[in-house]
Amino acid sequence: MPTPLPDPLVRSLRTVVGAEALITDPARLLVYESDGLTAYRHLPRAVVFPSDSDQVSRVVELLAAEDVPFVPRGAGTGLSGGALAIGDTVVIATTRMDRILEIDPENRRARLQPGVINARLSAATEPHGLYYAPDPSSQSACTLGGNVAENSGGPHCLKYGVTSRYITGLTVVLPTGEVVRLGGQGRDAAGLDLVGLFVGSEGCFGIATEIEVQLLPLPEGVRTLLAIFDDMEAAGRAVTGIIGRGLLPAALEIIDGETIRAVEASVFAAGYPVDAAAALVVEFDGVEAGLDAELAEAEACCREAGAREIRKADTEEERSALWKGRKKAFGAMGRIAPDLLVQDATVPRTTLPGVLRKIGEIGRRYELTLANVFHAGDGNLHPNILFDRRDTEELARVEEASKEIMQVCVDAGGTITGEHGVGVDKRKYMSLVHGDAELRAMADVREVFDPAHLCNPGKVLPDEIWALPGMAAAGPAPRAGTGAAG
Amino acid sequence: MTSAVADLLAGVLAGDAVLRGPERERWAVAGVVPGAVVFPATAEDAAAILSRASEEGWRVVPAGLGGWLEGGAPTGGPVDLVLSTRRMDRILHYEAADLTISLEAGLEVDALTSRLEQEEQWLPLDAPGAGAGSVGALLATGAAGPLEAGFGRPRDHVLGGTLVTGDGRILRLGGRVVKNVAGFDLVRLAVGSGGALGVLTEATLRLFPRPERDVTLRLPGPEPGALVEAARRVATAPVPLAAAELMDPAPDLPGPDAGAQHGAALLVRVLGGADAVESVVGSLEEILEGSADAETTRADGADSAALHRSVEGIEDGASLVVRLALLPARLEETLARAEELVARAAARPDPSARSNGPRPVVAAHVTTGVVRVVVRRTIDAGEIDEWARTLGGLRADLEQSGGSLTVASGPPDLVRAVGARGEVGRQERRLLDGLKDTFDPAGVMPGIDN
Repeated sequence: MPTPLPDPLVRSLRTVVGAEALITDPARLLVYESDGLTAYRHLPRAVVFPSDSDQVSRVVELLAAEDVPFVPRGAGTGLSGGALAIGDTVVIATTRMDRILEIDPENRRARLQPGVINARLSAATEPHGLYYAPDPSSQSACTLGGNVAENSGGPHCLKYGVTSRYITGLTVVLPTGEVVRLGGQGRDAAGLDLVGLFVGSEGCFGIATEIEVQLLPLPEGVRTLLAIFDDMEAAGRAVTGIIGRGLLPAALEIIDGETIRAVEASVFAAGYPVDAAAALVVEFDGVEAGLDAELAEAEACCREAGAREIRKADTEEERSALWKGRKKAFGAMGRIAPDLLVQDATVPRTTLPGVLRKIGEIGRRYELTLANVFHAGDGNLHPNILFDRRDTEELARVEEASKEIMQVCVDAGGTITGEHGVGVDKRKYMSLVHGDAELRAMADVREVFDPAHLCNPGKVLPDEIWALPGMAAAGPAPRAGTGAAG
Repeated sequence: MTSAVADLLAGVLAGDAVLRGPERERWAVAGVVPGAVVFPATAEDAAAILSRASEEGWRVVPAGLGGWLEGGAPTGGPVDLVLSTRRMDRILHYEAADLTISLEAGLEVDALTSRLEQEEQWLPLDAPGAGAGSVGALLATGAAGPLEAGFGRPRDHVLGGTLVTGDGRILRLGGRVVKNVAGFDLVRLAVGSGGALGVLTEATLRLFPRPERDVTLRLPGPEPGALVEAARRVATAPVPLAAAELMDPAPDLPGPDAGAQHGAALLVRVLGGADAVESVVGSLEEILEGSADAETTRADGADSAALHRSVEGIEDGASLVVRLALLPARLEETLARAEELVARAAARPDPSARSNGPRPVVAAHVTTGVVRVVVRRTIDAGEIDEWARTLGGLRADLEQSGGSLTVASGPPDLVRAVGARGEVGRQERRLLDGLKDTFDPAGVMPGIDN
């Protein structure tokens, strides 16, 4: 149990945000002990709900004055433990900061608070013929603030890029409580890219309290097909063929047989054939003229690769049906096993077939059920492991298998996380892709923003980095992470 | 730098990797000839040099091929060393099927373009003067050209890179894949850092398939103000644009009428599959027809590309390049302020002293609202004060409206007097200084605001 906050501090916080915007009762705090990575639980000392930038600034100032560490939290959908309250931390939740401040169609931009839900933003801009492109699969729940923290991706980032491409300005409350405005669309974008550095900093550099985003015009048209394959490698060949022809689909998503069966056995049943080894969703969007030709080329690639069935959408309803299996994949897995280890590695696309083979082999060797979902276009894999945590023997195999899978991906020239972030969960893998020099540089950069180590401690960087020679921090000693992942 | 120290350098590298004689003049930075020029062949060599530089307190300016994009780093004092990546010019790993390429930073951009063409791929970056320069310089300046409208800026295309820091550490940042959130995004920090943090020696870039069709529409006008309405309608049209530039004077389309077209024009470029491009061109022609009195002409394929190559070249030999910025919807206001600079260029202290020289070019990126003014006649020492006053006044004016004024390149005295960029707030300054200190604790590299 974390130590309760001292009464004077509680009173001061209540004065800033109002009594109803501060939770200290342990029973109510339980909701905030996890994020999307439910294997880890850390009860926060308190949860505070500021409603604007000024309140965030004053709350942080109060906490910093008492040397109390804090962690920002959006919707808590993160899959790497980024919002976990490790080490006696106060959660600063952005859920009340859910206003869209300005939609500016003439300049194709919008300004909003961090608690705005991703899908809600695009819904609000749609009447202006505009949308916000990065669409992580959790978009109906996740917030822009969380997207900024994780540099979120999603199925459409092959063509459209990731979050950092679309954030043009930020108001940030630094870990001292000071407020700084970075970037801004009227300013020429040359010079050190502090906005770009902040995006993906996983809540370790401060709290974004206002976000300026770039919007795109809605594509004129969209075409979608679903191709069914009898083996995964054929699906991989289809993907290679499509990219090889110079096509740039808006989305290229694959789910494997195990995932298909999970979906079809659930309330999310989408009519995918349960004996298939792989289902590939291909989507093109953009100018109406030419979409049919692109889809036809993609269809040809699928058939050449050996697809046994192709389904195409003619209406928005049909399009939703084609996507349903893919979109509900994670939700459906809860049916099969109580626990799910969601992995998130990226490999060069051309290495996918080989990597998938090796992952399958690892799953068999460890006698584990793997369900693969992936953004085939950019090589971002989610080889998910289904298990029961209460079976400690199986849990041990899951952890071993997970390490091997990660090594396979790194050996193929890939990285340890493509979109979920490092958080707590992947700190142990950071040294697979970064040497000490790089990790030290990241630690140094972190300390430029947060010399006192108060802002989301125990995330991203392995604890050992702070103990390296020459890493003496200016402020109090770094708080060691106490998470299960170490 | 004493000659004893230069001897030390020569000890680190092979003989021809150090220039100490008159050939150094070619590498003068803003008129200052460096004490020596070095050409390391590897990141390790570069690291040894910078490590030494930090110990000795030298002042180092990084270079690629010596084209000094963005004017190089204006100094107030001597330059001990220019460190050029020219010898590091190999393609390390090109996996066309992955649409990624890893290369050494000294590779010439035009050479890269040719190689990519063989695989029908390209890197859609067209910063002014970038073609003849190195990839490293393009990334260090983070400069963008008209294609930013359709494809984004350099930092959107860099997946990873090797940065040799000011104190000689070798940092291998990022990776080789398009989605990578393994740690803080130091790649984004390095791109556009202008050499302030160290020297980029390698980079991995994301590529695109070459578009099937390339079309530019050209709508002429008597002066930029007359084309603003058309420009704004194009910018807000729900069609994908590769580039939209409002220029005065604008380059002519190649062909029998070349030379007959004068004055300002709006150039709109569309790239993509044949059907899609024709559809967009059709929509644009309708929009342009309704917006102005003149006729729109069209360039296809190689002609369109040639037109844009000449746009890329407008800063060649410029004496002063200034970028004015406000939100894109305020284009008219930004152009009006650009006119003040054009007027200043026309007002000479002694009109009889020499011929007028070519008039300035005004080039506006319609979708971002950034307007460039390229002054091509020489600026005399006696004019510096007047220019500084004008630029300072314009900057204050723009900043008050949430915009900015950047001196991308110019006479060193002028850049020093005005500052390349405006002041930033106290907290931002602290962050910038802290980051600089992290990568270049001895302060050997150029300052952040250059």
